[in-house]
Amino acid sequence: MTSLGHSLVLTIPFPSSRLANIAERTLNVDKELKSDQVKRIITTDDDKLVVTFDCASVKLLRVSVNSLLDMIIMITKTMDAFDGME
Amino acid sequence: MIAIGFEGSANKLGIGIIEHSTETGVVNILANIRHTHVTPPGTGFLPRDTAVHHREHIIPVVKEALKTSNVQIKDIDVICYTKGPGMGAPLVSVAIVARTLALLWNKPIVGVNHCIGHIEMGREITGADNPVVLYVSGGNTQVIAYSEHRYRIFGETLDIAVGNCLDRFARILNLSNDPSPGYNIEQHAKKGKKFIELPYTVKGMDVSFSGILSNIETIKNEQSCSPEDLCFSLQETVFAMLVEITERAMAHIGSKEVLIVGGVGCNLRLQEMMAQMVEQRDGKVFATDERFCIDNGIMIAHAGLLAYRTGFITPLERSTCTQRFRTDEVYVAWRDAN
Repeated sequence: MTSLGHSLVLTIPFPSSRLANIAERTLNVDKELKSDQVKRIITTDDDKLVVTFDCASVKLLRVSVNSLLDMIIMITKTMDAFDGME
Repeated sequence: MIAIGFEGSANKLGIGIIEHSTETGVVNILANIRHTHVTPPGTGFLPRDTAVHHREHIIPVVKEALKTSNVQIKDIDVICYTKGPGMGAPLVSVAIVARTLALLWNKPIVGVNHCIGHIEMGREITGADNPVVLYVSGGNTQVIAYSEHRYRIFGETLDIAVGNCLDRFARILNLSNDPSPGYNIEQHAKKGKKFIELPYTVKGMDVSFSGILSNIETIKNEQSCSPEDLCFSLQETVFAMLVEITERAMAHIGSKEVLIVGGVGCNLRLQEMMAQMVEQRDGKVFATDERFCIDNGIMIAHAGLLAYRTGFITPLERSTCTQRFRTDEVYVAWRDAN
């Protein structure tokens, strides 16, 4: 795959591979709107969430990373509050 | 069966928990918690800020709903969320939490059309059986009737929603957005005496409201019209338009019932004007109060559970949100054909 010129890899550790997996499945539902200018690949590596961004401009990279981080924060807050509840 | 519903398509964040008895079909509301993003007078709510509001408040609101309902997580059968229509960023922020919980608690998830939520909740609360539905809110204005497993749209707005017209009018006059612009217009209108003529636009079964706003912009500074008179005249004009198209839909399908749903539906003057028309046709008006008219989570839980009971589930990888999602796109499996 040829690069769009501006890329970044985020590696975010989770308490367990189960939770990393839940984050990956939750995030992968929403597709990037400008799929020709922003390539985003979300995977897991054991208990780590790994996100690779490849964007056509620095601005797009910043916007895309920021918005994904907002969502990841929301997911981790939800896990903190409600995991293990019966 | 118990469902939890997540709503956040506009400036209201709502979480509701509902129980349907599988034997009797009796519906029991266990929790209905709401938190509203209220902006300063003269300003509206923007998608980004609204999404931030929802993300800030959703965890305490879910906690409160669970506490109020007294249900155990293991007793919840399904998680329901608003799929659309609505503002993209707020919808997704809420859906993310619904998805995470579905995976954490290992529950199925159901995406719900917001408009269907309003209609089904209105039918459940009022007991209206097969009414003509007037759905009026900040984002939608539709006259709807049911036929052959779909809620068919008979008439709708050609430009902005009636609630959007009221909200923007309140901004022009700098009225407070607390608790809602529409409520404050309603209170001011009670003191209005003089009727000022405003553009009345009904085209067949459809209505148009944008001309009213530009007209008000030009006349608001004339001394002869007070804010109270403008509020009064605006309500009389837009509500008369809505009553007219609703009456025509009743005549079309031969129904004697009208159900008013959506945030504007809790306006008592609209309910009163509709009742006057319906009385002349020997029929009945059904409406609910702000707990169920204004966006809430319970209606999402209710409509989602109705679908879930017919076997409907949204696969997690398809639990997306969509800003445009028309009322007649949904197959209504839980009602008889007519």
